Amino acid sequence: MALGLALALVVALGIGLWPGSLKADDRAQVVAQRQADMTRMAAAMRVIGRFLKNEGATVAEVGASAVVIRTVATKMTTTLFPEGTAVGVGDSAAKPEIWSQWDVFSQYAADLTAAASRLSAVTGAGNPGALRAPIVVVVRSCSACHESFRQGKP
Amino acid sequence: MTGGAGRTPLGLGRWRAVSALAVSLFLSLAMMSGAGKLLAGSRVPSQAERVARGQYLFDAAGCFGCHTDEARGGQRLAGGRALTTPFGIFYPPNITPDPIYGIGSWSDAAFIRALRHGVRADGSSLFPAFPYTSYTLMDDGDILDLKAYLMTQKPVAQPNRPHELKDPFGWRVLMPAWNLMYLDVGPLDTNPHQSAQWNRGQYLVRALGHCGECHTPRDWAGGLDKRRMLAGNPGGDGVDASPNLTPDIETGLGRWSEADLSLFLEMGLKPNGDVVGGTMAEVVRNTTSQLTLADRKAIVAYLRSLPPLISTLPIASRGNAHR
Ligand code: HEC
Ligand code: HEC
Ligand code: HEC
Repeated sequence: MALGLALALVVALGIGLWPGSLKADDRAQVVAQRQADMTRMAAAMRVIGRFLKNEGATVAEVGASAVVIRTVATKMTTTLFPEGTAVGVGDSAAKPEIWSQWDVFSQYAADLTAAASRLSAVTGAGNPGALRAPIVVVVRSCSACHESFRQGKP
Repeated sequence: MTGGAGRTPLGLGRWRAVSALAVSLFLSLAMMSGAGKLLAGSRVPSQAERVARGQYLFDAAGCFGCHTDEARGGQRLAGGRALTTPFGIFYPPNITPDPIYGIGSWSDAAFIRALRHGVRADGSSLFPAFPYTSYTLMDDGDILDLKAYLMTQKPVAQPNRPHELKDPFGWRVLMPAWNLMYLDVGPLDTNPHQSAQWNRGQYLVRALGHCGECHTPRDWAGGLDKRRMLAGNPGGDGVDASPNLTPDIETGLGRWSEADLSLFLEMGLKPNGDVVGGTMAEVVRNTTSQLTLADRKAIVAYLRSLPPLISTLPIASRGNAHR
């Protein structure tokens, strides 16, 4: 609860701090921040991958990973992608279409939030056999957004 | 080469003779034992079975993505999105069964010829932006099952959009010469020195999945560099680099376990937790995730058996997302 409040505060502050025109330094900073957050999600996904491959990750670890993913997912449409931070800023791979198709982008972020919440809920029941389906939904949510909005390597 | 992928005319010629002998022996034995009827029965699949097989092949060959303009709400198979290449922009045509705008009036022979030789029903040459250079390796039976499935799709009366190509790459008359240089006409021979699983994997990777069309580097005329099969290709799909799929440790998939590869083909999750994007996301969604587990394992077995090649892609483009 307290965490949620703190988060909301950070988010609100974040929005307040970005009234459209960001300085170059700040923009590079945002890119670095979201890449770090994406990498945190990837670290969480790696644990989930180890679970799927029977490499020792537990149901509880999958649950903790789902929470990490949900936390980042909820930040995507608030602080992580302010306008003016597309490819060209730092080493960003964010396609400019993110902002021209903000509805679609937001939907993908919302899908991931929902998928991660669902996975987290299912892990609560402790049944390893029930995890595969909700995990697939999470991975597909990452992939769908990457397919449209993340630039590949040249 | 590991003696796998290439066609060794001598060895295979002998193998063909032997297998023909074996088949005729088996057939005559079957006749004698009265199993002839049963065998004949199982040899003629019903139309419904052929359509179902065709649907699986359609997914495994990834026909949907190119021929449907999904992003802009285009109708299924009625014509694809722009394919940007160094030679210009291609607009994949309507392949619905519409008799005028689609391929509804094509004969079986014409359809086989398109996939096997890259020639249209009217005799003109197709461009290799349509990967017939891979589909040529399919069996006749599979090509016809695929057609049976396509003919069950909804016909759409939508005219084709002309390509926008640079000279001389837009000259269809040059294609026969190109084919002489680059087209190895199929079907793919079975390699008797390898397992059934390996052969299935080779067929899925080289004929149906046409993985090399993106992952193998090309020369100036757009021909695949066969000596560097699947070694990675800058701008492989016209946009992004397609990484090295051979098992080289530093620049390829050498550090991926079989389970890593299998999971990637199933859902696009890499061993380091990153999730696939770009055109490969579409390949995973439409093709590799739709395959049976046995077929995904066959792809893995085949990829693992490739000779490791060192990728020349810049480090950042290599993929190689190992632990
Ligand atoms: C709503 C869209 C969206 C979703 C959902 C999404 N991503 Fe991303 N991701 C992006 C974009 C855009 C980039 C490029 C960011 C940049 O470089 O500025 C990216 C980049 C990344 C990167 C590279 C970071 C770096 O260091 O360059 C990783 C790793 C990653 N995402 C993992 C994931 C994982 C794992 C998930 C699912 C749990 C996920 N992403 C879900 C849009 C998304
Ligand atoms: C990489 C994209 C791509 C894929 C995958 C692809 N096609 Fe095509 N296809 C094209 C393009 C581009 C053309 C037009 C080539 C030309 O104009 O010479 C074409 C042409 C054709 C034609 C000739 C139609 C005509 O009117 O001339 C047929 C038939 C066809 N494709 C069927 C298929 C089938 C069946 C599959 C799956 C097995 C498939 N295609 C997969 C891009 C693709
Ligand atoms: C339309 C072009 C295209 C086709 C066809 C294609 N790929 Fe890819 N592939 C790519 C691109 C682009 C990437 C890089 C995308 C990424 O990492 O997000 C990739 C990445 C991969 C990777 C991840 C490698 C790494 O190091 O991260 C594997 C494995 C792979 N492809 C296997 C295959 C197989 C197997 C097939 C055939 C069934 C295939 N691909 C067909 C374009 C293609």
